[in-house]
Amino acid sequence: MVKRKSKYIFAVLIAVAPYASAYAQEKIEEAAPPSGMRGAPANLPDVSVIGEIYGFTGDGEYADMNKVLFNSAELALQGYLYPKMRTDIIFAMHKHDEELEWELEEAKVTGNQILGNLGLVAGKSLVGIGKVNTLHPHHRSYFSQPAVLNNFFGDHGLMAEGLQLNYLMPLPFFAQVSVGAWQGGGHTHSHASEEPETADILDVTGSTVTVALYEEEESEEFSLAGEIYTGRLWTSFPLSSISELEVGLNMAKGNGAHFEHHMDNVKVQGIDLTFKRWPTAHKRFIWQIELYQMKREVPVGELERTGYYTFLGYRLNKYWETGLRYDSSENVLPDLVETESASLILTKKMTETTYLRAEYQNYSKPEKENKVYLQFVWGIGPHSHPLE
Amino acid sequence: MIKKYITLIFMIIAIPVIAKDKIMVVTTTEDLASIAKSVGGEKIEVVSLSKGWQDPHLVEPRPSMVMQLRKADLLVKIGMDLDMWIDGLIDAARNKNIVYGEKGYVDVSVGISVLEKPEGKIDASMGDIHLYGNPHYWLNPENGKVIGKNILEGLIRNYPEFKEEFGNNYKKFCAGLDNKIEVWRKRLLPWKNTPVVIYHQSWPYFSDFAGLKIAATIEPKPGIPPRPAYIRELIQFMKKEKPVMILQENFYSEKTGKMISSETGTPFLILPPSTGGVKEVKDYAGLFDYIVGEIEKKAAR
Repeated sequence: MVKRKSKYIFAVLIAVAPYASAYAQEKIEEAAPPSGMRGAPANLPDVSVIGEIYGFTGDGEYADMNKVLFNSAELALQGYLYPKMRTDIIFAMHKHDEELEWELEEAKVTGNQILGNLGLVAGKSLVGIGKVNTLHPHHRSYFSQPAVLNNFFGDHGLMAEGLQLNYLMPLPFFAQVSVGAWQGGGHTHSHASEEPETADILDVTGSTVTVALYEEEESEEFSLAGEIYTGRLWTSFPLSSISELEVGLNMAKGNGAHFEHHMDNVKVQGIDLTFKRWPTAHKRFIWQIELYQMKREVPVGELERTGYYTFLGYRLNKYWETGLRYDSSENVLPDLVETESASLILTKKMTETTYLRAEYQNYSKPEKENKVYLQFVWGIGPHSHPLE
Repeated sequence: MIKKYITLIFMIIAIPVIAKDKIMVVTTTEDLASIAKSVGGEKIEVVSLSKGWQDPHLVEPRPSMVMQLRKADLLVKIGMDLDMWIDGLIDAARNKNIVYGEKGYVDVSVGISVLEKPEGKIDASMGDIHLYGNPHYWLNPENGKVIGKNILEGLIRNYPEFKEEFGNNYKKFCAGLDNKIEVWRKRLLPWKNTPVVIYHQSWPYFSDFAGLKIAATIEPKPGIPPRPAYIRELIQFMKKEKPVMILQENFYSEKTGKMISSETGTPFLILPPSTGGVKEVKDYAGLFDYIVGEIEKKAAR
């Protein structure tokens, strides 16, 4: 027993010893720089990598199910290029049709104080619409992107190149207006046929119209494209010292991603609400909803589609978080397909940048299906995001 | 009718301007707010963005905080990566006075003799480690004077016309703190050079001040929760070393600490590491009054 005790003591001393040896005491001579100014040597930008491994199982049949797979890696270079002006260059490697591809996810310059309360974002960026579209996947509270964002803005959210002006209104409460003019959006696609198949459908007036159909693989990649104009009013009201309500109004206007075939003009409008309450240091309650309506004008008529998600989340302590999300969304194609699903999410935070997540998805539409995802996300290096 | 609307809009826009008759100081923690109030006196109005009962590492930025920063003449922060959550808020506030390197940006870690600065390669295998060293330096009351000096310099840099008044306030603050420090040191003498166990690395500065020897931590590495095997080893270690108390921040779960305390018979002290952490602690000096009082009460020697 004495020997065992000695072994324990030795083990604890070994565990504690690195603190003593790896630390030094010195006097702070100058303030530590903020995020974006932390790379070493001093003239390097902040460099970070966020990686993601996942696996899933379920009652459907998919080539990549029941496997542990690499999903994505994000390489971020972040730094200041001028006083009050920073740049974020984010490369993402992720899978397209089981092929790993590099993509420039964001390459933007953010000027925080261009003129008084006016700031701008220029370059390639996740477009400032709604609460979730601007979040990188690793920053969301769930594995899967809400169906309404998939259907209306594409699998990777609404990304485009252009300019966005953000104006912090001089009001007694937080109110920021953002307007953006963008080009592009969506991902590069190939059309299998120059002469797409057509189908007869009823438009909103009840008349029969003929429209082009997508190939299956393209239907997953619809997004706004061409010249895109966006607007967002983001307001926030502290309801108490421990709770806050955010309200956002959103709009976007542009063409469809396959405009050359469908000659479609698209308008999206939406509202988002987020209520957060922090009852203790680590507990947090969140309720969020984003609701969108899309009007898609094609030469022969107009399609109207709606979709929303609502998320209820509760962080139990520093390490565990649970969530429940309900999705209901129509697709944007002439053949109406509705998606309805409920997801249960459990996240275990391991460090400030690393977590393990399980997500159970129960689909009732378009067909009944169950899926369970396991996701492991880790980060290395200094990585920062603007206020979201 | 149009005139009415114009007047109303003008009034709404003008509210933040008209209401401003004091120097607005925004701090990231309540400790800094308390010290700033002592140094700035009647000339300033102070708002702390976080509350003393919150974990200062994990304060969630809120859009309403942007409005506080928008009005700030001075931003006072802990620095050393503890309150990194403020960076995005500063950008969002578009207040040119409080940006890093500007006159209103006050990082009070300047001049602190920092503990536990990691050397060599740093990565997450060491836990949630702070690149610039342990940032919980306000828990040594001697450092309160350094914090106060940084705030004083920040105020004078922006408002040199009040130099004398701020200087006098600072001297008064230091004198009051020095008196208290003498008393706290005397009261803590019975525990000098005794071993203690801490939960998170919040307590090295306080231990340094009180002469306590940190024998072990309940977190095996900063930010990493203990596993059962580690807890078992720690209990064995504590039975042998007989630490005089376990110090734990009041925002962590008490379960593990309580269990270790009951297994080893070591007094378990749940303490606020910040002003406002419990309702009795209303200012910076009050924080140490409370901590010293709890040690006397629960770990009597």
